[in-house]
Amino acid sequence: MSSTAGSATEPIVSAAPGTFEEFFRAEHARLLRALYLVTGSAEEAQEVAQDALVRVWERWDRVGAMDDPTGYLYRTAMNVHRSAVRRARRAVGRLVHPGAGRDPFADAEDRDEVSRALRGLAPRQRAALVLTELLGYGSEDAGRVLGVKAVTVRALASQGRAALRSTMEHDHE
Amino acid sequence: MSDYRSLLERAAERVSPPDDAFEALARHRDRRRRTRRISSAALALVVAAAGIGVAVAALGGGRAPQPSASGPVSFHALWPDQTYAQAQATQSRVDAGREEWRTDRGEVARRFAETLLGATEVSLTFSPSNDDVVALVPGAVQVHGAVQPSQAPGFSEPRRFTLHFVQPLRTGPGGIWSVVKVDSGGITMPVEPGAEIRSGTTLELPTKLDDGTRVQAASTYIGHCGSSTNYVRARVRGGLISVRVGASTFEEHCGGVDGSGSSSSVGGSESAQGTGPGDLAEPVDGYVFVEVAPGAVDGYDPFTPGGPQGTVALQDFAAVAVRFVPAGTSESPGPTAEPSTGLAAYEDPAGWTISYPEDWSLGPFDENDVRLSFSGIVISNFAVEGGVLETSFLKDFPADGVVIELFHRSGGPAPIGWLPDDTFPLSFDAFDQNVQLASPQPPDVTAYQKDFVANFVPVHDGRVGGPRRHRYRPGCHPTRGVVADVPPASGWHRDPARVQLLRPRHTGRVPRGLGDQVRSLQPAADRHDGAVVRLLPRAHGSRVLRAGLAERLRARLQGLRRHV
Repeated sequence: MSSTAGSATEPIVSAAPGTFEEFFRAEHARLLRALYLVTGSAEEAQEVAQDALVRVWERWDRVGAMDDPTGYLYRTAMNVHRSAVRRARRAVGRLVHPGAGRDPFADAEDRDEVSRALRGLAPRQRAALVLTELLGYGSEDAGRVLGVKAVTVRALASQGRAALRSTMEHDHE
Repeated sequence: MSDYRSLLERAAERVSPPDDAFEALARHRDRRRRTRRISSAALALVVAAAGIGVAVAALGGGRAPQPSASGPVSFHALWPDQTYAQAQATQSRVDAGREEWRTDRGEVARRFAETLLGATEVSLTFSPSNDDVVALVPGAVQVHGAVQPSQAPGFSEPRRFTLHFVQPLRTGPGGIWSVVKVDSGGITMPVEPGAEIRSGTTLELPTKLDDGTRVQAASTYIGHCGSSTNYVRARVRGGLISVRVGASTFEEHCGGVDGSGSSSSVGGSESAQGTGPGDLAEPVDGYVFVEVAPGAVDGYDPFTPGGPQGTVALQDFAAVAVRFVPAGTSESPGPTAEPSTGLAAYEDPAGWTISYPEDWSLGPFDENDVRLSFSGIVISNFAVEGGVLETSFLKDFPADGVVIELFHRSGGPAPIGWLPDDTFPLSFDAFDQNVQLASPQPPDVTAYQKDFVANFVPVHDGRVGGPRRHRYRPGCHPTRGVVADVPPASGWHRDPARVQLLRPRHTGRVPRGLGDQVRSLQPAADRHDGAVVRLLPRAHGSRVLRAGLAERLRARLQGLRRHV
């Protein structure tokens, strides 16, 4: 099954693309949308996606020959995101008012219950949920992307689903 | 709740990629490359040279605009500008906020493909190691006149053109880009941009075209008040196209033209003429091109406005900007040429070798400041004291001076190890041109710099994780390395941690598979001390040991070995 640029829900299948641009066209939209859910910010998602894609581009000779270049892309993106989060935490730690570090999902459309529910999740729970539910990764593959064990992924995703369900059920009451 | 996916998909639909996402990515990549060039590198080779003559003679050719014997400036470019005056005028317009596309190499490449190759859509790939851009033109044709591409003879297979770029006036984000050479998938131009071609020289171009294929080659002289193109025909023989170039005289009668080489004067003025077979009397800038077409392309110069009416469909095409010189002049064929004088060789402890004229001098330097140390050698054709930090020699830099520095740097921010391997021996064209040195630099001193990368060794199986999970592969164990502790650095320089082994002794192409395989280790913030671990050749380690970190290093090395 080939990837579809416009959908974030196609199962992850390496497209074995010939050129980086083809790979980009196939993966960019899905990566951007997944990162939007993970980061909670369209702007940050765009920045992380660009950083990750440039890194893949710079070593496309090697990545393009991999069995799963898409997996490499998502691993890179998650690394970029984690680095950004660390930098943000350090920056926030130096501030006089630590409360300034507002979750970016707070800026999302509050009327959207899914966004509001995601806002209540920890970043790792969001990532696990997006990888397993939205992108269709198995827990082993998702663990490789996140740098954690498969069992951790399953726990995080389960916690994420429970929190999501709880939040949304509460909203419906 | 069974349909988390649809919920997440609905939330994700809030964001959509912009239409120009790939172009934005290309711009992002260019910015990143510029930033990286400015940032630290573990190993740097700096060539500071004044005067193209000595640089060309010693190293095989710098390609920046240089003083010329016959004109105000010798200038080598194919498109969009062909003269120094044109480039200056363009740069002025760009500085005034117009024609910003000239500062975007990708956009210049795209317009080149559209304008000269008739591409209606083009796929661009940017070389990670230099300024080349590969343009993949899908079955396009060169169209001249009002005929649409679909009406002209087409070519079913996408064709690949490599466009070589320089920033002819100044480097950096505001400098304009120019195409200086075009290679195609079928024809390779064996001459480097700016090379001096003796009048009447026979060039042999490797080609994949079938034997017997008709080609047309041409030499174009660009004078002060016009240009003149002389065509020759040839056929492919044994995988080569042999063509004689620059084999005609050149005369100019500028009349009322001011001789400034303004843009309006170039383009087939009748006052600039190739007057027939013979030798050039004076050097003149110009270009050589070879074109192949199913039909006749007689008298068609794609770089010159005007020409024959109707459609010209180019099947293949290659070109390079050069300088034609009289037959009696010594030739500078390109950066791979060996100097004619005797050579001495220097091999540094890590295995890098530099050949240099034997009558030049070589001396070591070892400099330190608070956090950085530079240790290496200086090769020069005049007396030089210092190296990287001590650069008083720049003040008295002779007009024909050449300085080559090979040094190792230690300390400071961790190097960014994401560059692909370079190809050895290094080509002079691979150097960044017109580099601004950190120290005050006289305006007549041109610096070229090359940060080079070799053999980043894979240290684990590609999974993200800490050193405890790593298994050093056979042959990649750092038997010659020590574990060095990079001095504390702030901010983003500390993450992610990386392991690298700079393997010495290259004699040719660095084996593929060893290159660009740096892996991210666990983030620095997760390590107990946040240090960056690097595996470096013994020479580096010795220096670090002298810096008083021996005990820490031994402890780290033992700690690492426990995990292996």
